[in-house]
Amino acid sequence: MSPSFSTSFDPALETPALARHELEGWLPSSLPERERGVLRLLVSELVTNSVRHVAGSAQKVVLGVQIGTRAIRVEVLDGGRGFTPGKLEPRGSDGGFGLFLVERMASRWGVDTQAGTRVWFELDLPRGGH
Amino acid sequence: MADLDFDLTVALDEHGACRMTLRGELDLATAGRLEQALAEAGDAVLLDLRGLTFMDSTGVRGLLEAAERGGPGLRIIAPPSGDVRVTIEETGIAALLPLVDADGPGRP
Repeated sequence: MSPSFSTSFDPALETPALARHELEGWLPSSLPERERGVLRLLVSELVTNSVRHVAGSAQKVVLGVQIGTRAIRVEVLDGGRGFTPGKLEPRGSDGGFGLFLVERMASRWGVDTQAGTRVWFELDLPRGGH
Repeated sequence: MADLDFDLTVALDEHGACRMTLRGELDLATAGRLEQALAEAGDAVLLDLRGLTFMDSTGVRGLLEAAERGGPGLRIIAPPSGDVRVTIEETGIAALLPLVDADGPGRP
């Protein structure tokens, strides 16, 4: 079984920091610092985007993390209208570098707009860990 | 409330040049404070990022806007490694910023 964690946040300027600090407590202590840094940064990017999408509404931002043996999966869900990722370049579709960094640093990522907006990514873990 | 652990101090030297030292995490919650401080500072600003423990693309955008507005008097000292350096490298913005060595020439 893969341990999984989830928390919802009210959208506020402090939400990305809260999400990063929550994430830190979920990650296994064996995870190398490089991977921790990538997760910290990409979670901050996705939560920042969600906060911007739903700012001023009563909607929550939900962070979910699943710790697999080969990869860590992160999902950030909000109730805002979705978007279609186009070609990502610096200062791209989100008006900044956020999704550009996700595209560049995550192993895989995607967007699901079936109900609200769910952006996910996976980060492969180094082989032969432990 | 989260302890965001962010601090921005401003010191003026005898020539009126401004040294701005940032500590903690530069993100959505704190980038506005940097923007405000830069708006209030003069043309000659040395921005020291070495005390930052985290910076995401919201911080990157703040630095780029500062570089575009700041003119020739803005200098930035970035940490040689760590989260902030990774963000600068991965976004590819280093060439767009007036980065200087901590001990080298280029003091405003």
